[in-house]
Amino acid sequence: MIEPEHCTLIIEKYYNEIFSYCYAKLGYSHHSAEDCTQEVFVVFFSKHERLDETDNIRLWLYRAADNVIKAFVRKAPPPAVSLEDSPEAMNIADSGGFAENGDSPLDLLSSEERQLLELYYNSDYGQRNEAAKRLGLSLPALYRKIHKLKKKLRAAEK
Amino acid sequence: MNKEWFNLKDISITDKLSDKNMLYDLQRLLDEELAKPLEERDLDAVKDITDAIVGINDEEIPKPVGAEGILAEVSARKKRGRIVQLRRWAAVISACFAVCIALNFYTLRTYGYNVVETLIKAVSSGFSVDLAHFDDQLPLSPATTATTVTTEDMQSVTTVTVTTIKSQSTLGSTEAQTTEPITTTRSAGGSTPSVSADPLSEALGNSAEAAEPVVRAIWEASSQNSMEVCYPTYIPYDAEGLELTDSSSEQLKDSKDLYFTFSNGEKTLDLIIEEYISKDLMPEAVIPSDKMDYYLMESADYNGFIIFEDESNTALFVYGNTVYTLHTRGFDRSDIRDIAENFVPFFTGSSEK
Repeated sequence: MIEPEHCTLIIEKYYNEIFSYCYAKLGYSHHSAEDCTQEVFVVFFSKHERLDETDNIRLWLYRAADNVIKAFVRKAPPPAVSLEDSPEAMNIADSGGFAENGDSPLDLLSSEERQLLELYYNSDYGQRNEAAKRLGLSLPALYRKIHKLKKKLRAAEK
Repeated sequence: MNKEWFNLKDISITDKLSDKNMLYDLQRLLDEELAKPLEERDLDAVKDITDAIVGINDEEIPKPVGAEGILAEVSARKKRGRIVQLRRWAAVISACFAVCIALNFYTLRTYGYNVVETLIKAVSSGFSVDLAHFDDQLPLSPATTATTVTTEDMQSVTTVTVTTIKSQSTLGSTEAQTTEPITTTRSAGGSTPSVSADPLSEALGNSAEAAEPVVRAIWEASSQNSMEVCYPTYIPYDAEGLELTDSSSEQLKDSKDLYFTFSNGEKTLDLIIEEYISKDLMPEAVIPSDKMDYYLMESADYNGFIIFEDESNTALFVYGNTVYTLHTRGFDRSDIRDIAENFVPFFTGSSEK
């Protein structure tokens, strides 16, 4: 049996991870993901007495999340979202570009960061995957870096 | 060089497809991972991908809800779940599928009533009970011997056992004494109760020691809600140490309800008391139970029955305008029977025989 104090630690440890999972599976809906994440932990707490310290809690939470998401979608199917058509779902900022003033915000980037951007824009999916491996990164990690660089540039524009 | 980077800058900032492409790629990776059986998934990879999806969408992950908040929700759901589990009012169910079947064959000849047909209907989900007429139609204190009936024509179950057993209350009584029901004065339903100066003290004096926390909790809650209710004079000695772990009350349109949960770690006792404004407002109840093994209670003052299941037992009885639902876990079958058959009202102040 898991002690309540331990439950708190488990929430702290896995909450973000489960939220991200729900978010990715629920069409990038923040509120739906938040609701489902809370539900996963309510289910966890209500059944934690039946779990053992040795149980794979993480796997258990993912399984619970799958079930909660299924139930959630059955009750209130999320609106069909096309990644291409919904800026809201994508939540992508559109800066509109830089003014041609000669001072390039790219100067803010290190050469390594510039290379990353170049790598991203000059390659396809397979090449990016390979490149990420060469850099010792996963593709998601590479994309996160690229996204950060773009945000940095956008911020510099402002 | 500068020009080259400038072009790159423009691309990286203005192309809306860039983030979409990344998300598309990530979603593809995620789908590949999720296509595997759960046990074979690389959860680190799933986390990596989903974290990136959240990050690229510039989402802020909400702060985790505190354990207290979740515990409160869990507690509330458990309570609601118990009520749903124990009593599913048939307002909906009777309209949908409460079909009276099968049990007509059985008549309690002792009473001259087809009790089961009249009051307890087998429905596809368990028992449907007409509480409003429960008290009127079952004769009180039946002097019956054990009866076992097996159906051959049940739609939802294969075997039904109806058992009426002589009480074996252990309230310091001999077997001869326990075959006589405890006599109390009915206070509900219009009669005037005789009010004791200190009903709680009197109730505690009338009760087994192990019942004290239960009696106190019921007294306190019923006093606060201006309800006249009954308390159990008997709790088996091996259930000593019961503590009130959860309680609440509700004032509904037609009733005042009290909920209690007592536990000593090994044994749990839930009690729901619903005092209706009028008997006519008592709904029909459905007791969901796969095993239709029940026992008709023996009490001088109220009628009820107990559903026996593998790990828990549920007693349901009606006293005046009040419905009592008692659910035990960890108690013997005889325990719930003895507890349920020995409820007396506070305001008559007596359980004299």
